[in-house]
Amino acid sequence: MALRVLSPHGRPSLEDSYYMASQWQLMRAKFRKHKLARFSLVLLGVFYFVAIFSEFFATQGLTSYAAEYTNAPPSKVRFRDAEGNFHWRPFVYEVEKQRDPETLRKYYVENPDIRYPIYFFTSGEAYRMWGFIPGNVHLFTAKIKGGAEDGSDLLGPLFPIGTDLLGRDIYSRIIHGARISLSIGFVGVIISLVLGIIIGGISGYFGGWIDNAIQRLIEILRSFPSIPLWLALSAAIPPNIPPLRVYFFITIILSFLGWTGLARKVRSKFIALREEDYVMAAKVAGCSDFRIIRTHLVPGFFSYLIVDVSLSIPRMILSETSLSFLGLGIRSPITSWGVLLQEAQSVQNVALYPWLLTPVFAVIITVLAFNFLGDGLRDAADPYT
Amino acid sequence: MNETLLDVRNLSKYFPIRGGFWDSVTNYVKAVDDVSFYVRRGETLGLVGESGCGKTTLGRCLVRGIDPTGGEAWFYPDGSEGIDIAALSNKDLKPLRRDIQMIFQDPYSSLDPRMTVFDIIAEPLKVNTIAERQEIEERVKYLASVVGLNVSHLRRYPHAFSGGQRQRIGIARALATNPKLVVADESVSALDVSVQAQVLNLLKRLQKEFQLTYIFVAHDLSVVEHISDRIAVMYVGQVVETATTENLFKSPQHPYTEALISAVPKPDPRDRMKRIVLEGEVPSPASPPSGCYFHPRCRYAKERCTVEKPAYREVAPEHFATCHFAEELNLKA
Amino acid sequence: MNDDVVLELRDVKVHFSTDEGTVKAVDGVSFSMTRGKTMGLVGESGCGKSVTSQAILRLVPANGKISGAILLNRDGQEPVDIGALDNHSQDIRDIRGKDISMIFQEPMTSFSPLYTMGNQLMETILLHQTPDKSAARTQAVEMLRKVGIADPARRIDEYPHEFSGGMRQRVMIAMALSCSPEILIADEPTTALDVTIQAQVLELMQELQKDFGMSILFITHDLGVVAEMCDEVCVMYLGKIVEKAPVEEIFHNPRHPYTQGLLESIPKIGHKTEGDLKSIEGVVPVPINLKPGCGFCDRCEHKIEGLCDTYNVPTAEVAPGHWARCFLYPEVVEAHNKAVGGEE
Repeated sequence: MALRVLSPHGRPSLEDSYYMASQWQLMRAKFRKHKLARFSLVLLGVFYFVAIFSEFFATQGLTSYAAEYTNAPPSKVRFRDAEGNFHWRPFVYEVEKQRDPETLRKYYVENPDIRYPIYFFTSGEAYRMWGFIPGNVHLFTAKIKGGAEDGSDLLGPLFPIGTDLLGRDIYSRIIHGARISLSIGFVGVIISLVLGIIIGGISGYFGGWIDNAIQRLIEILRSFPSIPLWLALSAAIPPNIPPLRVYFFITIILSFLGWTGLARKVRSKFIALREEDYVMAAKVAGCSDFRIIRTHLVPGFFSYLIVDVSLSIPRMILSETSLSFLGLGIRSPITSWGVLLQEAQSVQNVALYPWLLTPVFAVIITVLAFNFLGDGLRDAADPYT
Repeated sequence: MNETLLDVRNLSKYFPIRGGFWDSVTNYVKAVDDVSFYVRRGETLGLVGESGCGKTTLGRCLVRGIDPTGGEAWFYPDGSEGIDIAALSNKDLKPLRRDIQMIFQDPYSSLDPRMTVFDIIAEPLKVNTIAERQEIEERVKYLASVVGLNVSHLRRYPHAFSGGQRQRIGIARALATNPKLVVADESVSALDVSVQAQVLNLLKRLQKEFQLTYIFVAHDLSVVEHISDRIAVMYVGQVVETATTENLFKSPQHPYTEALISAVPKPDPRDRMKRIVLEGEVPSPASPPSGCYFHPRCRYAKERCTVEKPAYREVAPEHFATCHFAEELNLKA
Repeated sequence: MNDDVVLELRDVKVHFSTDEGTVKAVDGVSFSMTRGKTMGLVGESGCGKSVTSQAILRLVPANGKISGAILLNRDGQEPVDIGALDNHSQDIRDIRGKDISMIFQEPMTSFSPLYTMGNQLMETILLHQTPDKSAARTQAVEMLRKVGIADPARRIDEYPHEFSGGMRQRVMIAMALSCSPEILIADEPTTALDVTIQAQVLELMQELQKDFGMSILFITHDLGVVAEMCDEVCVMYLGKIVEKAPVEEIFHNPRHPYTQGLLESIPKIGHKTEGDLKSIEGVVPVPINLKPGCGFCDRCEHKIEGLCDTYNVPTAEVAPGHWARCFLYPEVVEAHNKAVGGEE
């Protein structure tokens, strides 16, 4: 209905652009109507951008810590100082650890004598971007310029969402974790996609006993309980290999189990499209099988695959999070959101220092955003209905 | 002009029904069951029947969209040498593809929504390497104008067109290779009546212009009557009657044809006469009745019909029927 | 209101708001149905015939707005304006299935595959007639017998997939008639069926009309079926009724160029014509952002410049009982002059 309404005689100005619109242009137009999906796309774009340049956005390096500020609460960013003067540049006060004489609990009090102004796009802790480009510019840093004894800048305690029990800035760790968590979903899905297209395509195209064998294999793989299988597979990872290799293995484990769903989708779409009249028409016109697959079948199911991909990524992210939460996945010093949550496992800690749980929100927002995006793509995937 | 272009002999297409634990073949759906007929050069043969009678499957076997199970289909492209298209391998078939083309029923699913109209019409030209790049452009434009499409709309996608225009695109694609035989499968049944008339007129005009031979598959008897020179009536996978259009409507020789003609509602309230209402339903081609497949619904059925399968025979000159009593029954349309 | 009239539509409009503008699917339809007679509503796809029938039962999709009066005249009761009823009120639910019932084109999808035919058939009876289950069952079996289902006592416990298309359509008719409605709306009831099965169903409907005395609103695109079934016919084009007349008049004395074109464009069985069929050139426009003027004028060979493409055409009685919406007839021009004069 929607299409017929859009078509003839209505608005001549729009006509041509609509009629000449290819599938992708139509999809884009339809996707644009889905506000939540558009918002999610922007949000995820920001997340991935931050994850790619995590060294710049974080204030602290992956391995640094501030021993004098363990379990510090989120810093209070101020514009007005203790005397009531207003400053255009926001600042934080120095905080000092105190201990309650009765309960022996530690707490922090601000010391209004030392004021660290917050600077943006400024130098801070030195890092190597992606491990090899040296740099020291950060998005923001609280520091007293030239405040240190040797004349360099004196960095202040700016922890937007507090620190953990080693004095590591949780904000920085969430950003560092994003690089692993977000990329593992992406890379894992790409590997499963390749496996899924090849295996599902073989299954759908050849049919017969090959199809049967592949489908049974998929069913067997899918009927394994996932956590014990992860346990078994991660037990196979040698214990003292570099963390980067662990990351690599985890990705493979996740995609090894993730391709089955995609393979099934590819196969069913393949079979459905094979029955379309236009495929018969191409055959009658004399097209070879290869040409039919290339020009008629693959473009036909590609748009549906994008939907599946966008919905598999959050599944992968969640899998990695659970795996690391159980202590089977990524290990320190490399960090992911799962690792961060594993560190917040103790109930006591969570009760005393609730900010340790903030990585959960990162996971929730990302997974939700991917699901909304997938929803929007699903609506757009078939612009001809 | 009386020469034969296509001679179909005992053509069959069985679809296996699988079942049971081992997924073994338990039975066959005899979609097309031992069918014989011929088509003359330049004529239109109408193929009518109700849904499930096998007319679409037969049409698709003839263009080798699907492979027949048995029988022969001799095709005489140049009038002399015959080729059995039912027996050719897919590879040997390729040079013949351009001679036998098809127009589909559904104007929506038969055009790839991801290709422009130009690419759709050009595809047969490209894959059969009929024309060079420059020529393709000219030929596509020519074809589009022949079927009444606006040449400036060739860069549009199918979704921009109405059902009737889409059907014209399908016709242009079928004509691209200059075929000799065109199988039109229910090509107007999805269209509204006013558009249906446009497409029927177009098909008739193109037949004259390009010396085409049509096999026109349809369920609508009045449309088939309008366009066909001869008509074959199908019932449960078999051809039960073949005759010239005039003879078929004047003196049908098979009781099913008689009932079919009578069942069509006439667009004239003064013509409200008693119809022959057939009892019961079309039997399944997986388990057809014994003897003559039509006997459970036939009002003339006798003992012999329930046991003995009637032969497809010439009951009058150029008039074939599958009925034991064709000569005795005096059927009227 | 005349007692013979069971249903009267007065200037009924159904407008859908979409992103592209307002779709005037039904744009000022008026007709009345006589008790025990069959009214045909014909037109090509998208002309608004199905939406009109949905409006009568208040079943149009949520983005559709109904206006105008739909008056239902039940025996010995005050006429009810269905158009003014609340969509979810008890009143409209009482009317659906009991006073007005409907059968659809697709006999395959109109039944739930999870329940037996008996369950679905008895549902309406239990709702509107008797709370007693065994009585409802007896009545359901009786209905199935009436629509020609062999061995109804056994088949009532079968599931929809065990019935063929024609048989399902029969059960659907049984279901629609189980509460002896005043009006049966049949929306393309035989379009999905084969001709020999269609012949069975049409004959059944005619017999049942004699038995039950209901009025039928028969919606179809098939002029042959109209000629067989209807007493009066409305021809619809682009949301408007362009011609309304007794069935004989429509087929033997059509006045509107569209009706004439339709009749000439169908091949008539048993009258093989050499040469071309007459066809209506062009395509049906989409009913969105339409210009004023006759909707058919772009395709019409009798188009009068400056009149047909400028003014909305009123409808007028061009012969007794025969209404047309076309400026070719002096009665219509007169009605137009009166309307324009009244405005000035």
